[in-house]
Amino acid sequence: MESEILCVENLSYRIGSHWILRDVSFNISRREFVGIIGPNGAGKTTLIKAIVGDLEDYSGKIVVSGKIGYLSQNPDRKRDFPIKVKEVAAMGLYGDRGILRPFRKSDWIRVDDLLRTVGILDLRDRKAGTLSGGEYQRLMLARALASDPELLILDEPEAGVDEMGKASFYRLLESLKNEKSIGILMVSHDIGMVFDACDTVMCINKTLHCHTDADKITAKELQSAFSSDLDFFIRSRDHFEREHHL
Amino acid sequence: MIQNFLSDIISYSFLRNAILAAVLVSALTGIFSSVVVLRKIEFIGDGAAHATFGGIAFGLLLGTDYILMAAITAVVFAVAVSYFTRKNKLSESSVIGMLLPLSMSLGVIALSFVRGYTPDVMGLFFGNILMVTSDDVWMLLIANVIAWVFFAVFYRELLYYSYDEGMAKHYGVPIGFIHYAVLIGISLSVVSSVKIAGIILVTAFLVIPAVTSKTIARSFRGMILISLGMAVVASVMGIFVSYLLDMPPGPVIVVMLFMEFLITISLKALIRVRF
Repeated sequence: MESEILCVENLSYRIGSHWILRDVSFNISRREFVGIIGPNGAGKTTLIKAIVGDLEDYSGKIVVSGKIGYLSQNPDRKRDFPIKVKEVAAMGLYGDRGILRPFRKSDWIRVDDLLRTVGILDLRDRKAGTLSGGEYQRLMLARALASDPELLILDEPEAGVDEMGKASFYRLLESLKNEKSIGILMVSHDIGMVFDACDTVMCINKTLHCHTDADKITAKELQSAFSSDLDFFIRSRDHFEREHHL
Repeated sequence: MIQNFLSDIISYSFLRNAILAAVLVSALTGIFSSVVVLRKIEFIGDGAAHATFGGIAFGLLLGTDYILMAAITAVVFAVAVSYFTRKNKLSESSVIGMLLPLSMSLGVIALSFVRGYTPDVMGLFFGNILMVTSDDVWMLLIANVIAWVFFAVFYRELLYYSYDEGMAKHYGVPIGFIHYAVLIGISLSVVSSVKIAGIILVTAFLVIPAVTSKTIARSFRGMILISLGMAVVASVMGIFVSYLLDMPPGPVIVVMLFMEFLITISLKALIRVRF
């Protein structure tokens, strides 16, 4: 299919005799917002690392048609580090310039555009460490968008962000998806928000248990992925549905 | 008082060399101190200095130029630290914590074999201004120029390397090159600082200026420049005070660096209270 932006085929990875991921295959198309859920240690972050190229020695095939923007898990905030917001965002442009080729005026204009897109342009000259959790998350998003990615990958972007911040962050992702017609792959522990914001949901626990429309996932599929944690998740989903559909 | 000091600087070449060397050493260690403090590798100065001691001892034992030997061991030390931290995923502090006493021990063992006259070991520990020659001043000047050019050319890389190594690598910053260059640079600046600062005190030169400037700097560039200013002012004041009160200059400079730190945080607190 032409609109496919990521194809993963039979991806497996193990450390010694311990399987981290086993035979994972899926496709993601443009303008698809995919949420990845699964218990701790299910291999979600390993999957992300394989896709962004930070993992070696896996078996299987990963084909990315386009550039990837990547928001890593729990970035170290380094609150007292003397770096400005605009400098952090400009890091995403480094690859376009490279060593011995300093940023030009056009790059800084691009940085301003990125900061405007994520809604923190007024903070451009602030020390990055003084930003709130939500603002910092937007800065990380601006940096990930710098290379004009066709696929945006986020690993637990909600850590350290309050509920209001999360809701508006997901709205921002949704509008980015539509405006720039990019694919989004997001790992999250926030099940309620995943079902709310994402188009499709993937349940992962070593293997891929399901990858289907967010509103078509059955309790049985969730059970197969989460086993002992199921009760909690079922309840949280019920709760979510009661809140939104009644 | 100041006139005497100035006229002595003009008349005595050793004093002139000493003050020039002190300023150049402060500038050199001051510029590296920002990366040392931001990367939280404060221990590296200590490690390199003790590796230097090992090199000096072997130089004495073999009867070769001991500063050259010190430079070689300091670079070997830096490369070993980089190698072990990158290949075996050990923390820099762990590796330095192992290699520091090792090189010190090898140094002491080597010294025990040296027969007859050994030069002033205390001078190596705490610095001895009388050991500074005009060749040293030239060497320090060249080292400064190289370090400044390196920081000017690779400013962005140094900034991103210090801030977030993992993501910097992801975005294509040549982390390996910067990492080795920084550690070798720090080690060589330690070697060139030994005569002024001494093995034991050189850490202060690599740490205090940046700790002070970090409390007030708003940008990486600002931090580097403030560290440099702090280090140079402390070294000039330190030489002057030590001349006046007849005290060893290395330790006096360290006291000055710490006083700058105290004054800076006090002023910062005062300003915050006022406004």
